[in-house]
Amino acid sequence: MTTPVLLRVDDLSVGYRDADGAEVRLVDGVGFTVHEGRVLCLVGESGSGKSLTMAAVLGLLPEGLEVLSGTVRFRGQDLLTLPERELRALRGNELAMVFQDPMTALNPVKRVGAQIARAVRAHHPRTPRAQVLARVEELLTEVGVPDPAERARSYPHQWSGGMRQRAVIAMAMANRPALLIADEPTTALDVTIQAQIMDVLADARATSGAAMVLITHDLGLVAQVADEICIMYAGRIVERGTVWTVFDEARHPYTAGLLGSLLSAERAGSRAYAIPGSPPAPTRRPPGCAFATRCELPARSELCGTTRPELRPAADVTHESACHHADRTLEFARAVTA
Amino acid sequence: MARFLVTRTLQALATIFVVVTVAFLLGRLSGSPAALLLTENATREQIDELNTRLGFDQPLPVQYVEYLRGILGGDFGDSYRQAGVSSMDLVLERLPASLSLGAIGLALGLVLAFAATITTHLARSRTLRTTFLGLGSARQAIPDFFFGLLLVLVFSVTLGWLPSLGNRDPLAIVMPALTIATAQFVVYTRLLDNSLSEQGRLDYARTAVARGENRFRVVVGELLPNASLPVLTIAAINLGSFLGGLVIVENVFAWPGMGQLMLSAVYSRDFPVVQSGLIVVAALFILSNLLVDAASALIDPRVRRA
Repeated sequence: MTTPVLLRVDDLSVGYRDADGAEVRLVDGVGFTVHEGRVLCLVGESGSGKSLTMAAVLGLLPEGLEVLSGTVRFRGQDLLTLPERELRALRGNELAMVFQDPMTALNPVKRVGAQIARAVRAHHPRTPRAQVLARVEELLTEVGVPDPAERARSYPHQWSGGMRQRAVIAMAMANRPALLIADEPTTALDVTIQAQIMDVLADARATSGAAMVLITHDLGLVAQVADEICIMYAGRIVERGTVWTVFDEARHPYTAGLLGSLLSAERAGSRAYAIPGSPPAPTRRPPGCAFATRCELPARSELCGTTRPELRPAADVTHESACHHADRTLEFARAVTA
Repeated sequence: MARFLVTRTLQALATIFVVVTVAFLLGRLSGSPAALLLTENATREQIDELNTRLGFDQPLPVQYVEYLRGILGGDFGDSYRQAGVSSMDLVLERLPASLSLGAIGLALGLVLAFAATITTHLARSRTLRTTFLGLGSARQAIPDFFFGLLLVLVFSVTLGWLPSLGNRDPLAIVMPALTIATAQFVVYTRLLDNSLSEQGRLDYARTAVARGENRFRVVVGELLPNASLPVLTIAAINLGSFLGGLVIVENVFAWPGMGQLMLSAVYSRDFPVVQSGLIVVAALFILSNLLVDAASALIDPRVRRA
């Protein structure tokens, strides 16, 4: 891990203030590091705060939500305190994003080519028209859109979901970003298209050398592409490490549960593990571990219900867990994944 | 496309037919014009003579068929009041004045509404929104004729800046146009404001921000085309009541348009003029709706295909 740090997020909290002025934290004290050219996966179920975390990084939080604490350093610059104008110069340029639903991510009344062209023009306003057109075609070719010159002139509703996602990726890659944030880029697509889109993303990264933060709940996907992985639960990171240490030696019962819920060929015949219950609402998180009520770790104790576990090194410094009993999860993990 | 044109033409003709029929029946329901056209002490002979001349001695269905046959031949009937003058000519003569006032008033209202809403959204200012909507609602709460009289009182009577009547002075259009524009303002401001807010929450808006567009580009370049579609549709539906409002405004400012002509024609039971006026208004309504449809198709490729 000698590659330089590209993005460093520390103690990031996102949320809102309720009627009484009390903070409701949807993302609570999240921190991680993305190294240049590498892939970090944020994994968690819906509502765990993974998308909000990255929206906060890019300054794309929906109305009503705000950053409550933390720093987001991109090449040493704090994005959270950056003036809007300077942040805008980074967005779509060095920091690009691919969204979950390609069916709605494009403007329905503008030609696809024109929308990709805007990505070029937004950062290089004086590029000659012919050059922009050529660049759009080149980008569409790179993401595997057949007949790009022709297709660039058509409208989003004339494109299939998979093709639209290629267009969105082309738009994101327009200015050769250093960091690509992909928010569940394959979730809305057919299974057969998912693999193609991941290939397109991999190719795009290979040509540009971009690092990527992949937001997903698909552990199969994580296994294929991730270098590092952060498991999020109820707005917090509960386990963090390189992908194989986490997969091989889950140090948090939630991670173990997620891995146990995976179906795979080797485990044909055995039943998948199901984590009981559902995550607590952000307004009603328990004082202790947010996972405590769903935890089936034999070693769980009273401590889990009273004291919130902080993220700390479990096996070694690169593998951290927010479980009071991180040293006693391996048995459980083995049991649920067997 | 050909099928579209044929359908729309048939629809338009059917609409005009209904308008003609209703106008004809309503006119006949309001009594014989002889009582109004002649003096109180007209003789039986005079009345009979008039009724025969105007065809009122015929049964209603016969009068109706005669009227329709005339229209097909381009004869909309002569005015009762101005003998020998075609009612349609009277209406068409007034049309340009109405069109210019209506178009300028509506355009001004739309421009003001778009300007106010876009400013609100660029500034993301709740204060601006509340101010515009508050002023607009307050204006709309005042009836057009009263607001018009207030304008006359201030700008003609007190300040003496603007002429209060007619359309001879180029400045004369200012007050009637303002009356119309300010009445339309709040309708379109609220619509466009809602529409822009809604569009702003959609994914493509976030995509635009994420690729580095500035606020102006996002609001005007990305959201506005989508947001103006429902506004256009409502504008088309609203056009009927808008034309109704025009009649009032023309009368307040003695603007020599169709509205004024029609109102006096109604008072004097000059049925042919009322009927011709209604046909022209219906035609205008249909034409404007066609224009709105064309504009929607121009903006939205999905409409174009359907």
